[in-house]
Amino acid sequence: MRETDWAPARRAEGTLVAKPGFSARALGGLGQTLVSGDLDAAFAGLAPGAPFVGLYGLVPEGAHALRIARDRALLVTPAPLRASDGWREGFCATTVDDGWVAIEVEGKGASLVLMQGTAADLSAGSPSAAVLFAGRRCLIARTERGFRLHVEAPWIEALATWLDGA
Amino acid sequence: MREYGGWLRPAWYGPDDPDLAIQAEARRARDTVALFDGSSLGKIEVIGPDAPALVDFHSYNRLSTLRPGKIRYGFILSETGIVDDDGVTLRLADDRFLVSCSSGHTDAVVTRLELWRQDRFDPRRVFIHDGTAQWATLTVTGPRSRDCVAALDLGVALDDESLPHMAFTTGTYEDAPLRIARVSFTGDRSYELSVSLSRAKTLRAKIVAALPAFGGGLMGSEALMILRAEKGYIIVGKDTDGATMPHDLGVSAPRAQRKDEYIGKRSLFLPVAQDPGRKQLVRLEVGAGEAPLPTGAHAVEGEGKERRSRGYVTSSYFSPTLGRPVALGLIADGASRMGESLAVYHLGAERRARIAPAVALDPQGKRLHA
Repeated sequence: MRETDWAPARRAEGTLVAKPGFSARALGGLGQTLVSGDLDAAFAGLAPGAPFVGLYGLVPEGAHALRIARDRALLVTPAPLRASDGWREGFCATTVDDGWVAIEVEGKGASLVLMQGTAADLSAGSPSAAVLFAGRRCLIARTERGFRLHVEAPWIEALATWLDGA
Repeated sequence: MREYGGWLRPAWYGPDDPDLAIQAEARRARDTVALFDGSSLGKIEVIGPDAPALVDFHSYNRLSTLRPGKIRYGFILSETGIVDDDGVTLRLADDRFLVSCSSGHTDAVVTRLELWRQDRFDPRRVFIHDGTAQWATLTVTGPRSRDCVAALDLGVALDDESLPHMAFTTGTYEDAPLRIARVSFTGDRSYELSVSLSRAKTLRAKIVAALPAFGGGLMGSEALMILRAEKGYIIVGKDTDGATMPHDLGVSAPRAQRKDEYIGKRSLFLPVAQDPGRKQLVRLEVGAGEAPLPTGAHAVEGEGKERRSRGYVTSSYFSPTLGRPVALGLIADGASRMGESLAVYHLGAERRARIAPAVALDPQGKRLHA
């Protein structure tokens, strides 16, 4: 293979991987906002009532905040927030609707995929949802039918390729 | 496509011989207008009341004196005073900066900023957000670049009073933010159009449709390498090595003038930093009609077992605009040896080259405003 030969990247929307045991699809249309600082004040203003979700915590129906660090979280909303970016009183927000991608992995084999992808002790939990999955920095949460990964958009092809081989 | 700094970027366009395609793209960009992908460059936001203090400490060049809407080029140094990276910083607001860095250095720069944020500053008053993946940047460059961008009808004033070199303006594209920055890595008038990733495809299509009316076309990263070498613009890690300090690149004003602390400052005043034998960035000229020097070839003194390296070629291309090769190199005492001829040794063969100032094309920078 020549160094300039590359297959086209998969689109960051719809089905990425469909295998007998599990499938993975990219979720389109979500709002994603990186928030740092006084998180309580931030979410009171940006998404009142949005719960914090830590490692492998259950994703609720509506807006929620995937915690990354004590003072940082990814606010996930059903649609883009369209809030202005920058500094407010005690916190800052940056829109990353396109910069991050959510991948939902579902099916009977989803738990095996999860075990293959991360060495983190998911049963122990953690206030932070950030772990390495397939060698990438991801946020991991649980869904009713599997799990959800949030990853920076440029990693989607690498992650999908890894899922192909899982 | 080819990997550059961990990102796949267009290297050149078309099925033709790559060397011919790259030369044609470089020539067309100098003559008319070209579009290239600048999306992979780091776009790191430093936000909060202490953001001016953090970017000042983090950078060799003072940034807190920038006014909102303005842009400044600079270096970041390691604690040993070595040039870690270079790039431009935009002041988005009084309490918000956008630090751009090399494509392959973004994670490292984010980590540096985060480390110093937590270690030296009040971590409640300044934060680091990496927005690199959110934004796509489409760069339109060349003497017809303003005409081409104007034809896109983006609703943004492009006259030089409203948007001078090293300034940016904002607008809206498809109901989402648009940022247009007058920054140049080619030495020609350039416009960096940044939109959120989901808007990039349609904006790119509009630009591609507009280019032919101005004789323009697409340009890959290989042609960009030629253009920036003609101007003496460096790639950190290629035109610098593990010992290069900013004054070796001819940028010594902050070292001479800044009284406040910044990363790497102390190391810039150690005896080794003032060693007269330091390798300095220069251009290496060869005779008319000669082939480009091999990248990596050593400038040497002495013969046989006494032969010693005095530096090496860091970048080398054939310039279709100048009609001759251009090469950059790090040469011991290079800055004080202008006009000297030296031997360049590679795989048993020796050639001669003349030391010259790094900028080969438009040293006055008039093309930035043409």
